Amino acid sequence: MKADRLFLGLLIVLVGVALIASSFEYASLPGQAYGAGTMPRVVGSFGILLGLALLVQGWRQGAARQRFARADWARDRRGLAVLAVLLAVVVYILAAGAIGFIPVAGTLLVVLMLLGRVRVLPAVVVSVIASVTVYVVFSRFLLVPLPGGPLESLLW
Amino acid sequence: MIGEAFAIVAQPNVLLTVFLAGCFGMFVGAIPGLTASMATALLVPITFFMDPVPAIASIVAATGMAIFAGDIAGTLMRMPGTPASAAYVEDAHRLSQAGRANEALGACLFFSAIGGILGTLVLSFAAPQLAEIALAFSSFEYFWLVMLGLSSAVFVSAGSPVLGLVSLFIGLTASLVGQDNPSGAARYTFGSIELLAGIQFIPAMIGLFAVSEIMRSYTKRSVDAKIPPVRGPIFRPQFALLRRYPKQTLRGASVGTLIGALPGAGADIAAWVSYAISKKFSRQPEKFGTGHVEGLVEAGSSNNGAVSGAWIPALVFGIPGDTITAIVIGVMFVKGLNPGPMVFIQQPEMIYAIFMVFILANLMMLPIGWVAIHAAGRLLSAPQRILMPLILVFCMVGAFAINNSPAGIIIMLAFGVAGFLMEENDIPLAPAILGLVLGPMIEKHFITSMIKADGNLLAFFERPIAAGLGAATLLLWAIPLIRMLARRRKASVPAEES
Amino acid sequence: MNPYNRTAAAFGLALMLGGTALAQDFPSRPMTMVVPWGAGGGTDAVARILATVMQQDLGQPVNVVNRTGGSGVVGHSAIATAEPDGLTIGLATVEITMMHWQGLTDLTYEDYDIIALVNQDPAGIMVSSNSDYDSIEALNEAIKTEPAGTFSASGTAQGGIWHVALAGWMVAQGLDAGQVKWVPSDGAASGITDMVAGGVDIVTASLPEGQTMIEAGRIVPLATMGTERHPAYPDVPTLKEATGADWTLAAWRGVFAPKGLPDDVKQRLAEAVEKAFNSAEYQEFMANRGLGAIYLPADEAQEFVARSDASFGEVLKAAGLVK
Repeated sequence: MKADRLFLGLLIVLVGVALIASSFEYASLPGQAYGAGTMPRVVGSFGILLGLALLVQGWRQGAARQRFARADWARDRRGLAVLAVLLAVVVYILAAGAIGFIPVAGTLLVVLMLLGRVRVLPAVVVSVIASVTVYVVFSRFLLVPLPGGPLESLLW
Repeated sequence: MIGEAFAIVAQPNVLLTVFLAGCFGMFVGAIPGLTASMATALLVPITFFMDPVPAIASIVAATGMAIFAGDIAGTLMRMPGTPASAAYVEDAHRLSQAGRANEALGACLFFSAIGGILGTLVLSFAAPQLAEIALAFSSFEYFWLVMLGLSSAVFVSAGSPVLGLVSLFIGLTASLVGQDNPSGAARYTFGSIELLAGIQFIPAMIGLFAVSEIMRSYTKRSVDAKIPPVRGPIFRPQFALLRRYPKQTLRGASVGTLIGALPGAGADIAAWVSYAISKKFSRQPEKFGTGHVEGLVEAGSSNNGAVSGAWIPALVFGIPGDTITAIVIGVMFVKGLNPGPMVFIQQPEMIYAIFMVFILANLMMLPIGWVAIHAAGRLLSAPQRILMPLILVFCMVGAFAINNSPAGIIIMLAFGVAGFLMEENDIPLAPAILGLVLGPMIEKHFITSMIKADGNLLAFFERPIAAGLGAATLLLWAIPLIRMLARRRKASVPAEES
Repeated sequence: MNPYNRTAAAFGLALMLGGTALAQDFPSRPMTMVVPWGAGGGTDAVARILATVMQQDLGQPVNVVNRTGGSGVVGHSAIATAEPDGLTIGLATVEITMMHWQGLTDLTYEDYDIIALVNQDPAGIMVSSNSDYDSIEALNEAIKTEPAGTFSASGTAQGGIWHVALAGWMVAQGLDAGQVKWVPSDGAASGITDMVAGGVDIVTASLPEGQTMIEAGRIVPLATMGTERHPAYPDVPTLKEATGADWTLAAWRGVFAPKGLPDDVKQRLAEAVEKAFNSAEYQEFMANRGLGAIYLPADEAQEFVARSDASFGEVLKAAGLVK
């Protein structure tokens, strides 16, 4: 997953330009030349200079520069496993509030372990123990309000 | 008075509290994804039911331990627990890859304790005098101090300096989000209430370092990958290191205590500045970032020196130096032990008791830390295919617990992806975190200074301390430029002759 | 909108259809008290003391949950959007009457059932002990005669409560709201240190927030913006008696619940809060920290909050802080 150096430079220049352009939406403090737009303009200018430096560097290196490259792991099921990690977090964010920490985290653990080729029985056992322990320790003893879900009443 | 203080501390319940709180801090800090700030915040409700000295003792012990314990995951898995330890995580991790985890972790532990104890000694003898220095700092001085911290980060980052700047740019850009800027305008929030708070560095740090590392573990072909358990003596190599680097240790602890004593600057800037100083004056600067222990010694003692230093303005004037002292000042008020000059006069035995607790906590760190290194080392050497999903769950809990809101998990996820892509492209991660932490500080001090000076930029050099710090920062930038120009001149001379 | 609230609301609805809990055995489950500010701050401490005493009375744990961020918008929204069953309440702060004027949120105090106010702290006027002015009369005169922007003040963020205090003070004397420059800070403590370091001239935070530095002899309290003198500083005049400027302002904290609470539940909560307010623990803590322990029951609180909301609106408009 490597990006072309010229692409990286261009991207940063564009972000810098976008920051400066958007900075004019933010009014200055009353009676001052400075305000909420100042910092975006400073960071934006820094970005433009930095992006240009990358472009010059990439240009000078010519064909020897870093080009787009697909990593070898992206070609097989390892690529899917990486995506599964991200998907797991998304599923947790969407589902944990309604269903509760224990079932959602437990399921995610099983799936991620199976993707790592852990055998089914140990994966299930470890996941169940881990999700229940984490829930009890953090929500009961340390008062982190992890979502309980419908199963919460069973634990009281 | 010292005797009275001793009597307050040497009670079984105080000692037990320090021990238990230390273990708790060690436990929370050692788990990747959970952080020292979380350990402190989780302790607050519990301290509500304690007497003043045990209450403060428990927070001091837990925080100190958690900060060190964050180095365990930092060293073994490259998942640092605080922005401060991100300064030296690269060296520590490479040492552990070279089979010298015992030496690296021992250095983190041993020199943290030394830094903490030296810092406390300074605190006991010179707190009122140092607090005076803190009171001479207004936004002009802070602006230069933060610039100095940021510049250090740029100059010490290993690898290509341009890519280090790219990382810094990413952090600075993220720091623009939210409403916590001097003008109070809601910037780049896209109508989201949660983004009004800005991008908080703890979920971002968990994402950048831990989540990206978890993702990377799934790209490896061998599913049986394990971290080798920690072998070899922990403390023995440290005495040799202390003999070899006595100056670095002292310099780290003093710089750390000084910067820590400035409210709002804190351990993050201290560790980075110390790492940069260490590299600057080292006889082997080229080894920094490749698994060299020297920077670890200096930045480690600086880190904990700063944690002690933060108590100076907190105890003398009730001014919080960082989030942790802010929490403790709150607890002190609840306990009727109002910080400020009066407490030094009316209840000096309490102040001395607190100092003793600091020393005690730092000493107790050594055995508990020893156990933790071995226990965590063993646990973290479980097969990665089982370990990594578990760490992901802890990351989500840790990111959630910062605001008790799922927004933290979303930030963590976004930075996880960013961190993963950055690593793929050889962009270092640490400057991004520093940009995120220091960006808002620079903005705040710059804008408020400009309001005070009615836009006159020369005001940044009008006050003596500000002028000194400003000159140091400009010099730091000028030297590499001059050197680069000199090198070009030299290189171009023979070309002209031929 | 946070995904948990939405799903939690949907789920709460399902529970309600399943069987409504009877109010006489309220609370049937542990309660949550939302604090819109961080652990260890003043609001957090007040909430924790209240919760500790209330749970003895109510017979169920009252868990304090910090929902920080967005200048308090996040936490205040969490209180308003919770299920109105009394199991989730919160400690709202004066910011709820300011944020909607500044365009940060649509929430107002009318989106809540107010149980009671439990604390009020009037703004103060403090200067450094090196200051040329040792009385509020002299300072006020100098502000009036010197050109606008000569003096600068700090104590909280741009548009924060102490900024409103300063602007209101100016407007009450017919001056421009910006006669004294506002230098934003993270809070009273950093504003005060900046003043001692020579960065600004005045801090308009509450006097208890300056307590330690007043004791240290570094800063001098000149006036309070309360309706009467502060009990801890009996020698410090009110702004009105010293200068005739008719302006008072107090920050407050109150126990708020989501709108639509059943009457009997509201009654029960009000009893519990009043009992906690009158407890020795609460009174002692507030006295110790210099916080104003003033109780306003629901109807009076409603009226007070409405009044301060309207007056903040006027001042914020005059100061150009309304979006």
